[in-house]
Amino acid sequence: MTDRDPELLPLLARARVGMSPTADDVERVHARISASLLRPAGMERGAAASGSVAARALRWTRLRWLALGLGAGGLGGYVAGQAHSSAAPAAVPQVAAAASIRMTEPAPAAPAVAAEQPRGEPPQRTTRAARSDAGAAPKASLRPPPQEGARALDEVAMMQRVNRALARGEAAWALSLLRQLDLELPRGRLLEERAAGAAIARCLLDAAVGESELAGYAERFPGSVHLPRVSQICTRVDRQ
Amino acid sequence: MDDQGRGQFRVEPVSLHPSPQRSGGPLSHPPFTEIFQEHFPFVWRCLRGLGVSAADLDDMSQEVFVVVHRRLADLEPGRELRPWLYGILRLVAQNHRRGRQRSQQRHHALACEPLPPAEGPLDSLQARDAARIVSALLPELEETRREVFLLVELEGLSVPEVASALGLPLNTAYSRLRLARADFKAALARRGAP
Repeated sequence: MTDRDPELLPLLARARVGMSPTADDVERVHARISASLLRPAGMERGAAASGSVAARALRWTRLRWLALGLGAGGLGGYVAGQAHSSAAPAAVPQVAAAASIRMTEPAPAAPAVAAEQPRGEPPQRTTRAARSDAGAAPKASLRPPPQEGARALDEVAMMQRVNRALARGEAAWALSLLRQLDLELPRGRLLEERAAGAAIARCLLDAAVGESELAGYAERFPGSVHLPRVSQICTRVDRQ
Repeated sequence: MDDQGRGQFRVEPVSLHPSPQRSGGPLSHPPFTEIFQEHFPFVWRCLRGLGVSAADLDDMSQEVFVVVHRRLADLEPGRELRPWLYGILRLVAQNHRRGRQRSQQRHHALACEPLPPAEGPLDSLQARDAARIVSALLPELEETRREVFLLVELEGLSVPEVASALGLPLNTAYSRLRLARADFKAALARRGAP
């Protein structure tokens, strides 16, 4: 339920996009803030709980749904809100150009979770890494290293922020967060979710790329659980 | 680096020791980096909407988050972040206006800046042009009405949230919003925008 005036919504929705910071704005201000604040040792995050391979796989499956939140209607609020406007938000030129960046393919992920084997990972690497894990700590070989659990939580938390940004219509911001995630956590597990979020953000920013974004996503992730939602946003924007 | 040669948003986490907690217990608020990541666009847009010029946006948004960092320990658990953030950025913007006499001239210049030609319905405007129109018209609203308008119409906060953030009775917030809408539409009509 919104208190916004529906008569002003089309103009103000576009103005909001145009008044939002670009990725360069974010980087610049963040660098200034970082320089002006103390930087002691990083805050330690607790390690994720250990568990069996199957339990981790199940947790990852739930996390994948949770992370992007598309199934939970996190993006639905934005889409419903935009149903009042008669046309798609216009492109922000700087970010639209930057949005043509291809998401970098993360390096093969840590091999511990067999059920969530990343696509294209060479089997030798998995086997070798698994053997080295086993060799290093045979009794604890099924326990994920603390960093892996922390990185998993970081990735999920970041994807939730991406989802909230998309739900608020902050598509450029969502792309910034995804680029940040690519830089900080190239060995992520939520490949489909990242790519879906990026495709949706680019479609929201530029209606003209809807068809190509959908085709690109479908080619990379045929049968993805997020494909219907990507299709809904990218073709809906296209039709308007 | 993207294919336009622009830098990526490279985060070097501002790892901060938590500000001293009164209770000595665990953090009762999100980490600072998370607050920045989540709410920086909101702060940026509100500063623009309150009349901070493009040239000063970097300084002002930096100042806001430095204050946020300093006052994070005072944030009551469970308190909504955006109204709290708005209170801080509002003070920063007010101090900025008081300290910079030329800011009045900027506001006037912004208000008089020619609007892009209206070649079609408003809903077909590019985001950049729409932003220029709205940024030019907002200063024409009386300040207390502009705040309510900005937070409800641009940022999507509910009127009760805005009333709480600004310390207003609910009816006063609704009244200011109604008047602000009328003023904005009148300004839009005066500018010749369809």
